[in-house]
Amino acid sequence: MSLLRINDLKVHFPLRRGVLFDRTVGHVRAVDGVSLEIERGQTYGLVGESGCGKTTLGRAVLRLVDITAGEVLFDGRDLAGLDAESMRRERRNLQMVFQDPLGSLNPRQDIGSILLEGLRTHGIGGPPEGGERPSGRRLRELVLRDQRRRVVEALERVGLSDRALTRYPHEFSGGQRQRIGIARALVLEPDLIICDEPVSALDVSIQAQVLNLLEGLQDELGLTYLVIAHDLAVVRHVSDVVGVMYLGALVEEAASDDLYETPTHPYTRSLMSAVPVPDPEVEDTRERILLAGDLPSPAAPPPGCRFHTRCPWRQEDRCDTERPELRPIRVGGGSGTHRVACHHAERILSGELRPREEAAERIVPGAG
Amino acid sequence: MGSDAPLLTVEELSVVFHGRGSDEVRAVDGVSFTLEEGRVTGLVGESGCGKSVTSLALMGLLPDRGVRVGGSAVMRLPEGPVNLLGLSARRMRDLRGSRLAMIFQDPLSSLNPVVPIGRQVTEILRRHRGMRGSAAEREAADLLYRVGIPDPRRRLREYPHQLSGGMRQRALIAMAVACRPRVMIADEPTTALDVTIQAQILELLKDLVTEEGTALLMITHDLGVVAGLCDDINVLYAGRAVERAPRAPLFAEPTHPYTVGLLGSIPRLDAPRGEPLTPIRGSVNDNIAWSQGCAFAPRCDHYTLECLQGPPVLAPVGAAAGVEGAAARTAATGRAAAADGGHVHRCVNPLRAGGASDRTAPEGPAAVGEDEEERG
Repeated sequence: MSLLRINDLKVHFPLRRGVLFDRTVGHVRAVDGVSLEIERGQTYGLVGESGCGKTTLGRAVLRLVDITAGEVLFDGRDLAGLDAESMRRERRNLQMVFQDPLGSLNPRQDIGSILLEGLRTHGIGGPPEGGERPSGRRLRELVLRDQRRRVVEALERVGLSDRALTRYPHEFSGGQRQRIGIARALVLEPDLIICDEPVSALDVSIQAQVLNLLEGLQDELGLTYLVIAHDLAVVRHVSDVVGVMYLGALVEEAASDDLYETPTHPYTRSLMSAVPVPDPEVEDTRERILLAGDLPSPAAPPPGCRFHTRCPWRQEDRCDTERPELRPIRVGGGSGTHRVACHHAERILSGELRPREEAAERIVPGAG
Repeated sequence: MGSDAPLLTVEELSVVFHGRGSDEVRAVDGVSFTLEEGRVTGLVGESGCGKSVTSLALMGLLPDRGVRVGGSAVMRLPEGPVNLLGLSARRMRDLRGSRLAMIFQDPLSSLNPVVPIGRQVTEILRRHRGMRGSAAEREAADLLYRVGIPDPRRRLREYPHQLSGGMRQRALIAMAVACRPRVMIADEPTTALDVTIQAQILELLKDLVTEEGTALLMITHDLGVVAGLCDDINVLYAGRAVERAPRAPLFAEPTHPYTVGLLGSIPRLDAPRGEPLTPIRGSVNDNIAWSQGCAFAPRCDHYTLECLQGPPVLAPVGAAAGVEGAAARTAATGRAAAADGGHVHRCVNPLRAGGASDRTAPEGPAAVGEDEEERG
């Protein structure tokens, strides 16, 4: 059974107007019907551009935003239906690493107290099981000693030492702060860590350090990750399975390698062609699909396929009216878990449908 | 003009910040490069390497007090060459916008939020081209249309917050190209944008360079962007160029350990999965002053005692003493050298071409500078 299973999750934010009366005039459909599964020990990468709802999805799993509809099954329990107190207890098993390492650490708390906070909240730590349980002051002492041991262990796992305990967040560099953020998640020994843009605020050389750290921790501790990022290259590097989001919904999901080999959805294709590759030869020779225009507003998503307003492969028949479902597709040589939300995926893949030039500029090297 | 002399020659540019009661900070420490017609020159490096300060110094946008700018930046103008660093504020105001223009990273904060786009675009037309009224408005609409903003007449009446990020960046580019400047500086123009929008903006910049023959200085931290756009690349570290080359040799045979480290740090979309990244250890704060040796030595896996004996000089690749295969490499980069200053690096102990593979990167924990925790 998969560790996390999301069924038709929806998160809608109401848009309110009015001075005296709060009228709800509409909804921003940040997440609008997403279903996915994450296996234990795997990394699921969620990629998409800003405003596609990937961060809201991550926060909804932790119930940091209210869920409008749908199920979030974690280890078989539906988190969407839990009351606040049970959810608080459950968060011990689901932790989050945030994008902005400085903004997510309290500047007035030293690292020791930041890391101890979670242990205290969840009442973790204490004298070893069995044997005689001391009481009163002696017990508090033992609990504190055990908590400290856990904190130091987590710090050492991320490459810092116990000297950090009495320091404050501003004394650390960006990369180290992100390590502290990871240690804070690790100290509770969670099953699932949701990483929301874990490296996008860091310099490239530091990015690689943090990515390697995340991978190493996964190997050691058997963690499961949900990595949310806008950088397709980062996501592909760390993930076993990648889901591509556009305007609140998954448009394609596949094993990382399959997605790179045969991107099927027109959006995935253009996204992939837009990612710069640090190699002049590749840059000069590959085909690029330049999308026209911007992301439509999630408050008024276009009818039919969400992508049809920018899609170079749009057809007259169903794209404007019928919303495509995420359905499995057979791709030659793939592992059979490729899913795509496009009416015409097969015909696009076979080359039967050609992209229209006016919808997207195609840059074919050598032709211009 | 027809002459193939560079449009802008920057030599030994240095910027020193000195505050009262605090130590001097050498943000830029002797950077030299040239900008040529129809070519894109790239400045690449991580935060704190001095790339943005370089652009501000060239545009004359650094404050007067607490800053010392040295070196020269000679721009070729029809009325004769001038040194941008020595111009009066008044003369600089005339040049800025008309002869050299800048595109900033964050389009929202570089546009005035309470003034409609139209007024901001026509302002530059009024100031430099003396246009007024409906003529200026027509020209502004035309500019917006040229940079790919649909329905420009309506956009002219809108405020910056009503435009999307990509649209705002296009509006900034429209303002930058309004007077057909010969030199354009783009400071991280796509960092705040999504990849599909980034691709649009880069294509637009590329078109400007090829069609108008503008010289573009591209400042970025993204080696992918550099690979697609720049003709000549300067890799900066701690205020100095550590490697300079045309793009093909730079990516094919990087020789400075820092360049190699940067390339090894980026997850590539087309790399086979599971290939580990080889990061550079430590952080930008672990450096020593250039006057004492190579600033990169504390993070370098190849440093020897030689690296700490005085500042290394920028030397042609292949000239480094006693490196095996040097002759072959000189031949390989020879044609590039003839075309454009060639491939130079600042390293006494350079890596052989393709040395990325034999690089052994010590993994994180032990390498994260303990002593560095004390600093910010």
